[in-house]
Amino acid sequence: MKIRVYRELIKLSVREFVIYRMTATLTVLFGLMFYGIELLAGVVYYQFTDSIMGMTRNDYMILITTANIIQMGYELLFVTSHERLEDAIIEGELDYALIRPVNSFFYYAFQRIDIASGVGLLVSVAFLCFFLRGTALTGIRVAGYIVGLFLGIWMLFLVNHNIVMLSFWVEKSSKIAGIPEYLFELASRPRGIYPSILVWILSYILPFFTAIHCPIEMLSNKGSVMGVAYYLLFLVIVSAITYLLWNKGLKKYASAS
Amino acid sequence: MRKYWYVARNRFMVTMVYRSDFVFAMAVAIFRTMISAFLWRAIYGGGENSYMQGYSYRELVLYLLLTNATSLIFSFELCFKIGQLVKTGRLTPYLYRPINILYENLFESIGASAISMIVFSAVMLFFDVHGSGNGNLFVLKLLYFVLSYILWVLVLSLIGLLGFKMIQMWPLKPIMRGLYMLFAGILFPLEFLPWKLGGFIKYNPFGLVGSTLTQVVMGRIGRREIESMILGMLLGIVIFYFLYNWLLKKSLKLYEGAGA
Repeated sequence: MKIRVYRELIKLSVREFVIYRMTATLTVLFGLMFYGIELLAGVVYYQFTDSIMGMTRNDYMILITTANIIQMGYELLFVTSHERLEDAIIEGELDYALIRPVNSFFYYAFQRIDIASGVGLLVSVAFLCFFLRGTALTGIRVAGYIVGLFLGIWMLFLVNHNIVMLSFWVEKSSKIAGIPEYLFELASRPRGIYPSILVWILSYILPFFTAIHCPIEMLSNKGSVMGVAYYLLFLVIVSAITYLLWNKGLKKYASAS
Repeated sequence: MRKYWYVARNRFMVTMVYRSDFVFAMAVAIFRTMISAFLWRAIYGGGENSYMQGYSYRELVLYLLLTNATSLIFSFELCFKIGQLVKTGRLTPYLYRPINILYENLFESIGASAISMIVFSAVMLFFDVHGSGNGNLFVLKLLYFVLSYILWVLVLSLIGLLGFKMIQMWPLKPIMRGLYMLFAGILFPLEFLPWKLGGFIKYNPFGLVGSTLTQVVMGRIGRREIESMILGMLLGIVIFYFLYNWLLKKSLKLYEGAGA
């Protein structure tokens, strides 16, 4: 898909944002509210202890802030597209995209951005800077962190995209649409508190833990090369599978509701 | 009275048809409790005998389970009902039928949560018989539960009146969820809050049906305090009842009767 098309889509998103100001404001508000609750919970937990599985309060705050940035980043770039895609498949409105001279996979993946989530993203980045004060940082580590964030966002995109695509085959898939959110919530806590089998599954088979912890490991230079290599390989393979499944799903798609 | 019985029964039937929704909600509640329980286990650090604010680890897990269970009984459904009726213009039939929207709300939500209410009452009885110390408070605890339920329905109905003013009510849902998470003590008992906040917000409507109800069930609150809370809730119910009727009268003037 060409950049020019994407620019048009972003322009449309901005216009929609301005039209639905009230809804957008409320979206911003409750995004911030959930982040605030997470921070407050962190304060409560660390009243009773100085370290949870070797993590100090500051480490914990960096962890949940990173998780929030990835979540908000996913919502900014993809969440509206996914909502629309699910409706489009079930209502049989995909035709309008299929007859356009664009790649339908990318067209639907990048349909809209959700600007309200961008505000939440900026706020959590500001908090991140606050929590990182006094940490010795080098340019390359920060760059690694940012790349890690994008990989995490892409990972969330892939999981959610596959779940949305289930609508091609199953009629009522909306119930499991929440599952990635719950797994992500689980993974945004210190790894050490969970049984090792759970950590293993969510690090290698469905790498939610890696998605959140990888950027932080980049920042503190603790990550293993093999781990990152596996994660990258995983993302590449799943991206390819997702693309293939999209084309398979389109064959299954009947242009009726 | 009979008409409201039908309302409750019909709503109960609907819940039976969509029982998978309930099972799913329960699975999510258990999943959430599990995450919290793992985290608290790390905080307790394996110290079987350590207490935090008077909670042992086992008591805290029990607390988390029960509070998450209350979130299945006290749903937010009612907030959106009037908004929907106003938006579609279907409120009109209500205005000439001899039916009170508030009573209908109450019986509708009883029908929706009948099973979980009965199970919860049974759990309450179990704790009263087998729990520690001050036994024989079951009737008092049950009264607390019933009154907090009525208060909850009133509060939700009051919030629902916003539907006369707002076109889109859905953003309320995550906000209510967030408020419930924080003020009902889903993640930790309200006394755990820093800066002595817990003492102030213990008696908010969310806390009364979440954190405080759980502590009543667990027998952590004495007869004296339960009695005074019951009196407080009775007063709250009377005030909210009149406030609701007054606001409904005012809001109805905004109602155009045309679907949007």
